[in-house]
Amino acid sequence: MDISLILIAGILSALVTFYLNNKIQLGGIMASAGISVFAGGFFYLFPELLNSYLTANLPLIIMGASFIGMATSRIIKQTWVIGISGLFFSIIFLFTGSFFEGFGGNLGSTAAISLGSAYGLNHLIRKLRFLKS
Amino acid sequence: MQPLDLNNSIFFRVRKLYKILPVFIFLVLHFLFLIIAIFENQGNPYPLLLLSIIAIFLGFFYSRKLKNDNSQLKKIDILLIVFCVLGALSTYWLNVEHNLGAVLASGIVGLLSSFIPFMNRRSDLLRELPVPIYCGSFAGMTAPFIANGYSFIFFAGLFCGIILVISKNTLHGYGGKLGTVAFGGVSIMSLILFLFF
Repeated sequence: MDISLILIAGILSALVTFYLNNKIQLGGIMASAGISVFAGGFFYLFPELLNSYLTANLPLIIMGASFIGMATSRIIKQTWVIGISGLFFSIIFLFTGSFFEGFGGNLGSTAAISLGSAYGLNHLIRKLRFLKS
Repeated sequence: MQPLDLNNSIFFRVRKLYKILPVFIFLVLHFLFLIIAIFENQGNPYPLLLLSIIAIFLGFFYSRKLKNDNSQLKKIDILLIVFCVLGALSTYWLNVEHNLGAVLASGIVGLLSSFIPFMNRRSDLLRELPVPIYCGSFAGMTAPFIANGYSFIFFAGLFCGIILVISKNTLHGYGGKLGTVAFGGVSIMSLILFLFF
Protein backbone atom coordinates (compact mmCIF):
# COMPACT_ATOMS: atom_id res chain seq x y z
CA MET A 1 0.00 0.00 0.00
CA ASP A 2 2.73 2.46 1.03
CA ILE A 3 4.78 1.62 -2.06
CA SER A 4 1.79 2.03 -4.41
CA LEU A 5 1.05 5.45 -2.87
CA ILE A 6 4.68 6.50 -3.37
CA LEU A 7 4.66 5.36 -7.01
CA ILE A 8 1.35 7.18 -7.72
CA ALA A 9 2.51 10.34 -5.90
CA GLY A 10 5.69 10.49 -8.01
CA ILE A 11 3.81 10.15 -11.30
CA LEU A 12 1.04 12.61 -10.35
CA SER A 13 3.37 15.25 -8.94
CA ALA A 14 5.52 15.27 -12.09
CA LEU A 15 2.46 15.46 -14.38
CA VAL A 16 0.64 18.18 -12.38
CA THR A 17 3.78 20.36 -12.21
CA PHE A 18 4.36 19.89 -15.96
CA TYR A 19 0.75 20.93 -16.60
CA LEU A 20 0.98 24.01 -14.32
CA ASN A 21 4.33 24.94 -15.85
CA ASN A 22 3.53 24.55 -19.53
CA LYS A 23 -0.25 24.69 -19.94
CA ILE A 24 -1.19 27.21 -17.23
CA GLN A 25 2.14 28.99 -17.93
CA LEU A 26 3.06 29.53 -14.27
CA GLY A 27 6.72 28.89 -15.01
CA GLY A 28 8.82 26.05 -13.62
CA ILE A 29 9.79 27.64 -10.31
CA MET A 30 6.32 28.85 -9.32
CA ALA A 31 4.77 25.50 -10.31
CA SER A 32 7.32 23.35 -8.47
CA ALA A 33 7.60 25.60 -5.39
CA GLY A 34 3.80 25.85 -5.20
CA ILE A 35 3.45 22.05 -5.22
CA SER A 36 6.22 21.79 -2.60
CA VAL A 37 4.57 24.34 -0.29
CA PHE A 38 1.26 22.50 -0.68
CA ALA A 39 2.81 19.09 0.11
CA GLY A 40 5.10 20.34 2.89
CA GLY A 41 2.35 22.49 4.42
CA PHE A 42 -0.25 19.70 4.32
CA PHE A 43 1.93 17.21 6.19
CA TYR A 44 3.18 19.96 8.55
CA LEU A 45 -0.44 20.72 9.53
CA PHE A 46 -1.67 17.10 9.57
CA PRO A 47 1.25 14.97 10.78
CA GLU A 48 -1.02 12.23 12.16
CA LEU A 49 -3.14 11.69 9.03
CA LEU A 50 -0.94 8.94 7.52
CA ASN A 51 1.62 6.60 9.08
CA SER A 52 5.03 7.97 10.07
CA TYR A 53 6.81 6.52 6.98
CA LEU A 54 4.46 8.24 4.55
CA THR A 55 4.35 11.48 6.58
CA ALA A 56 8.17 11.64 6.39
CA ASN A 57 8.59 10.52 2.77
CA LEU A 58 5.54 11.63 0.75
CA PRO A 59 6.44 15.38 0.88
CA LEU A 60 9.96 14.48 -0.34
CA ILE A 61 8.55 12.36 -3.19
CA ILE A 62 6.07 15.07 -4.22
CA MET A 63 8.69 17.82 -4.13
CA GLY A 64 11.35 15.76 -5.90
CA ALA A 65 9.02 14.60 -8.66
CA SER A 66 7.83 18.19 -9.13
CA PHE A 67 11.37 19.03 -10.36
CA ILE A 68 10.73 16.71 -13.32
CA GLY A 69 7.69 18.82 -14.24
CA MET A 70 9.93 21.92 -14.43
CA ALA A 71 11.01 20.65 -17.87
CA THR A 72 9.69 22.72 -20.77
CA SER A 73 7.37 21.26 -23.42
CA ARG A 74 9.81 22.64 -26.02
CA ILE A 75 12.31 19.97 -24.89
CA ILE A 76 9.97 17.20 -23.67
CA LYS A 77 7.27 16.95 -26.31
CA GLN A 78 5.57 13.73 -25.16
CA THR A 79 3.75 13.89 -21.83
CA TRP A 80 4.22 10.14 -21.22
CA VAL A 81 7.97 10.79 -20.81
CA ILE A 82 7.11 12.95 -17.77
CA GLY A 83 4.84 10.23 -16.33
CA ILE A 84 7.50 7.53 -16.79
CA SER A 85 10.09 9.88 -15.25
CA GLY A 86 7.84 10.24 -12.19
CA LEU A 87 7.71 6.44 -11.94
CA PHE A 88 11.51 6.16 -12.31
CA PHE A 89 11.87 8.85 -9.64
CA SER A 90 9.80 6.86 -7.14
CA ILE A 91 11.74 3.66 -7.93
CA ILE A 92 15.14 5.34 -7.44
CA PHE A 93 13.87 7.04 -4.25
CA LEU A 94 12.70 3.68 -2.83
CA PHE A 95 15.99 1.92 -3.58
CA THR A 96 18.44 4.66 -2.65
CA GLY A 97 20.23 3.79 0.57
CA SER A 98 21.58 6.05 3.26
CA PHE A 99 24.83 7.16 1.60
CA PHE A 100 23.50 10.52 0.37
CA GLU A 101 20.85 10.90 3.09
CA GLY A 102 20.50 14.53 4.17
CA PHE A 103 22.42 15.89 1.16
CA GLY A 104 20.85 19.00 -0.37
CA GLY A 105 20.11 18.52 -4.07
CA ASN A 106 19.66 14.78 -3.58
CA LEU A 107 16.04 14.93 -4.82
CA GLY A 108 16.87 17.17 -7.78
CA SER A 109 19.65 14.85 -8.84
CA THR A 110 17.26 11.89 -8.68
CA ALA A 111 14.77 13.90 -10.75
CA ALA A 112 17.41 14.68 -13.40
CA ILE A 113 18.47 11.01 -13.57
CA SER A 114 14.80 9.94 -13.92
CA LEU A 115 14.06 12.43 -16.68
CA GLY A 116 17.35 11.63 -18.44
CA SER A 117 16.61 7.89 -18.41
CA ALA A 118 13.00 8.34 -19.60
CA TYR A 119 14.33 10.59 -22.37
CA GLY A 120 16.94 7.93 -23.18
CA LEU A 121 14.18 5.30 -23.33
CA ASN A 122 12.20 7.51 -25.74
CA HIS A 123 15.35 8.00 -27.84
CA LEU A 124 15.90 4.22 -27.93
CA ILE A 125 12.27 3.53 -28.97
CA ARG A 126 12.54 6.08 -31.82
CA LYS A 127 15.81 4.52 -33.02
CA LEU A 128 14.28 1.02 -32.98
CA ARG A 129 11.25 2.29 -34.96
CA PHE A 130 13.60 3.92 -37.46
CA LEU A 131 15.54 0.67 -37.87
CA LYS A 132 12.31 -1.31 -38.39
CA SER A 133 11.02 0.96 -41.16
CA MET B 1 57.83 32.89 -39.06
CA GLN B 2 55.28 30.09 -38.61
CA PRO B 3 51.59 31.06 -38.69
CA LEU B 4 49.74 30.75 -35.37
CA ASP B 5 47.84 27.47 -35.30
CA LEU B 6 44.60 28.42 -33.58
CA ASN B 7 43.42 24.80 -33.28
CA ASN B 8 46.40 23.94 -31.08
CA SER B 9 46.70 27.16 -29.13
CA ILE B 10 46.28 26.97 -25.35
CA PHE B 11 43.43 29.45 -25.54
CA PHE B 12 41.51 27.18 -27.92
CA ARG B 13 42.09 24.13 -25.72
CA VAL B 14 40.96 25.91 -22.55
CA ARG B 15 37.86 27.13 -24.39
CA LYS B 16 37.12 23.60 -25.60
CA LEU B 17 37.56 22.22 -22.07
CA TYR B 18 35.27 24.92 -20.66
CA LYS B 19 32.66 23.95 -23.26
CA ILE B 20 32.54 20.26 -22.26
CA LEU B 21 33.02 20.84 -18.51
CA PRO B 22 29.32 21.37 -17.54
CA VAL B 23 28.11 18.19 -19.32
CA PHE B 24 31.03 16.30 -17.76
CA ILE B 25 30.07 17.55 -14.27
CA PHE B 26 26.43 16.46 -14.73
CA LEU B 27 27.46 13.08 -16.16
CA VAL B 28 29.84 12.36 -13.27
CA LEU B 29 27.30 13.40 -10.61
CA HIS B 30 24.45 11.37 -12.12
CA PHE B 31 26.44 8.18 -12.64
CA LEU B 32 28.15 8.52 -9.24
CA PHE B 33 24.70 8.73 -7.65
CA LEU B 34 23.41 5.67 -9.54
CA ILE B 35 26.56 3.58 -9.05
CA ILE B 36 26.45 4.17 -5.27
CA ALA B 37 22.72 3.25 -5.24
CA ILE B 38 23.54 0.05 -7.19
CA PHE B 39 26.35 -0.83 -4.74
CA GLU B 40 24.00 -0.28 -1.80
CA ASN B 41 21.58 -2.85 -3.29
CA GLN B 42 24.13 -5.55 -4.04
CA GLY B 43 22.22 -8.28 -2.19
CA ASN B 44 18.79 -7.45 -3.66
CA PRO B 45 18.28 -8.68 -7.23
CA TYR B 46 15.13 -6.66 -8.16
CA PRO B 47 16.35 -3.20 -7.10
CA LEU B 48 19.71 -4.02 -8.70
CA LEU B 49 18.03 -4.93 -12.00
CA LEU B 50 15.74 -1.86 -12.03
CA LEU B 51 18.56 0.57 -11.17
CA SER B 52 20.82 -1.03 -13.82
CA ILE B 53 18.09 -0.62 -16.48
CA ILE B 54 17.67 3.05 -15.47
CA ALA B 55 21.47 3.49 -15.71
CA ILE B 56 21.47 2.01 -19.25
CA PHE B 57 18.67 4.39 -20.34
CA LEU B 58 20.64 7.28 -18.83
CA GLY B 59 23.61 6.12 -20.89
CA PHE B 60 21.45 6.47 -24.04
CA PHE B 61 20.53 9.99 -22.94
CA TYR B 62 24.19 11.03 -22.62
CA SER B 63 25.13 9.24 -25.86
CA ARG B 64 23.06 11.82 -27.77
CA LYS B 65 24.80 14.94 -28.92
CA LEU B 66 23.67 17.33 -26.19
CA LYS B 67 23.21 20.91 -27.29
CA ASN B 68 25.78 22.87 -25.34
CA ASP B 69 25.89 26.59 -26.11
CA ASN B 70 28.96 28.07 -24.58
CA SER B 71 27.80 30.60 -22.02
CA GLN B 72 29.63 33.91 -21.82
CA LEU B 73 30.53 34.94 -18.30
CA LYS B 74 29.18 38.37 -17.38
CA LYS B 75 29.56 40.66 -14.37
CA ILE B 76 25.94 39.96 -13.45
CA ASP B 77 26.91 36.31 -12.78
CA ILE B 78 28.51 37.40 -9.49
CA LEU B 79 25.07 38.56 -8.40
CA LEU B 80 23.63 35.14 -9.33
CA ILE B 81 26.22 33.48 -7.07
CA VAL B 82 25.34 35.89 -4.22
CA PHE B 83 21.62 35.09 -4.56
CA CYS B 84 22.38 31.37 -4.67
CA VAL B 85 24.14 31.72 -1.29
CA LEU B 86 21.21 33.80 0.06
CA GLY B 87 18.71 31.15 -1.10
CA ALA B 88 20.73 28.42 0.65
CA LEU B 89 21.13 30.35 3.91
CA SER B 90 17.48 31.43 4.12
CA THR B 91 16.21 27.88 3.50
CA TYR B 92 18.55 26.43 6.11
CA TRP B 93 17.49 29.16 8.55
CA LEU B 94 13.78 28.42 8.00
CA ASN B 95 14.39 24.68 8.31
CA VAL B 96 16.60 24.71 11.40
CA GLU B 97 15.47 27.75 13.39
CA HIS B 98 11.73 27.49 12.66
CA ASN B 99 11.47 23.68 12.33
CA LEU B 100 9.44 23.96 9.13
CA GLY B 101 11.06 20.93 7.51
CA ALA B 102 13.29 21.03 4.44
CA VAL B 103 10.44 20.68 1.89
CA LEU B 104 8.31 23.51 3.26
CA ALA B 105 11.34 25.78 3.83
CA SER B 106 12.62 25.35 0.28
CA GLY B 107 9.11 25.66 -1.15
CA ILE B 108 8.49 28.96 0.67
CA VAL B 109 11.84 30.42 -0.48
CA GLY B 110 11.23 29.25 -4.06
CA LEU B 111 7.63 30.47 -4.16
CA LEU B 112 8.57 33.92 -2.80
CA SER B 113 11.44 34.19 -5.27
CA SER B 114 9.09 33.39 -8.18
CA PHE B 115 7.26 36.68 -7.49
CA ILE B 116 10.44 38.83 -7.73
CA PRO B 117 10.11 39.41 -11.53
CA PHE B 118 6.64 40.94 -10.94
CA MET B 119 8.28 43.83 -9.05
CA ASN B 120 9.42 45.21 -12.41
CA ARG B 121 8.42 43.23 -15.50
CA ARG B 122 10.92 45.11 -17.70
CA SER B 123 13.97 44.26 -15.61
CA ASP B 124 16.16 41.50 -17.07
CA LEU B 125 18.02 41.20 -13.76
CA LEU B 126 14.88 40.54 -11.68
CA ARG B 127 13.76 37.91 -14.22
CA GLU B 128 17.00 35.97 -13.64
CA LEU B 129 16.94 35.98 -9.82
CA PRO B 130 14.39 33.19 -9.02
CA VAL B 131 16.64 30.53 -10.65
CA PRO B 132 19.72 31.01 -8.39
CA ILE B 133 17.53 31.51 -5.30
CA TYR B 134 15.57 28.28 -5.90
CA CYS B 135 18.79 26.45 -6.81
CA GLY B 136 20.45 27.70 -3.61
CA SER B 137 17.40 26.66 -1.59
CA PHE B 138 18.07 23.02 -2.57
CA ALA B 139 21.58 23.31 -1.10
CA GLY B 140 19.96 24.82 2.01
CA MET B 141 17.84 21.66 2.39
CA THR B 142 20.97 19.86 3.63
CA ALA B 143 20.24 18.20 6.97
CA PRO B 144 21.89 19.74 10.08
CA PHE B 145 23.74 16.45 10.84
CA ILE B 146 25.60 16.89 7.51
CA ALA B 147 25.92 20.69 7.46
CA ASN B 148 26.91 21.36 11.06
CA GLY B 149 26.20 25.08 10.75
CA TYR B 150 25.84 28.09 8.50
CA SER B 151 29.44 28.15 7.23
CA PHE B 152 28.93 24.79 5.46
CA ILE B 153 25.73 26.09 3.84
CA PHE B 154 27.46 29.35 2.84
CA PHE B 155 30.25 27.54 0.98
CA ALA B 156 27.88 24.90 -0.46
CA GLY B 157 25.75 27.78 -1.81
CA LEU B 158 28.90 29.42 -3.19
CA PHE B 159 30.02 26.27 -5.06
CA CYS B 160 26.45 25.75 -6.18
CA GLY B 161 26.40 29.31 -7.62
CA ILE B 162 29.71 28.77 -9.44
CA ILE B 163 28.47 25.50 -11.03
CA LEU B 164 25.20 27.23 -11.95
CA VAL B 165 27.04 30.05 -13.71
CA ILE B 166 29.37 27.63 -15.56
CA SER B 167 26.42 25.48 -16.69
CA LYS B 168 24.01 28.33 -17.50
CA ASN B 169 23.26 27.07 -21.01
CA THR B 170 23.72 23.33 -20.42
CA LEU B 171 20.66 21.04 -20.10
CA HIS B 172 18.52 24.16 -20.32
CA GLY B 173 14.82 23.25 -20.03
CA TYR B 174 15.45 19.82 -18.47
CA GLY B 175 13.89 19.16 -15.06
CA GLY B 176 16.22 18.42 -12.16
CA LYS B 177 19.10 20.52 -13.47
CA LEU B 178 19.02 22.95 -10.53
CA GLY B 179 18.92 20.09 -8.03
CA THR B 180 21.93 18.45 -9.66
CA VAL B 181 23.79 21.77 -9.45
CA ALA B 182 22.92 22.00 -5.73
CA PHE B 183 23.95 18.37 -5.23
CA GLY B 184 27.29 19.22 -6.86
CA GLY B 185 27.82 22.16 -4.49
CA VAL B 186 26.99 20.13 -1.38
CA SER B 187 29.11 17.16 -2.56
CA ILE B 188 32.17 19.39 -3.18
CA MET B 189 31.79 20.95 0.26
CA SER B 190 31.39 17.50 1.91
CA LEU B 191 34.46 16.22 0.04
CA ILE B 192 36.52 19.22 1.23
CA LEU B 193 35.41 18.58 4.83
CA PHE B 194 36.17 14.86 4.50
CA LEU B 195 39.65 15.44 3.03
CA PHE B 196 40.94 18.36 5.06
CA PHE B 197 39.10 18.49 8.40
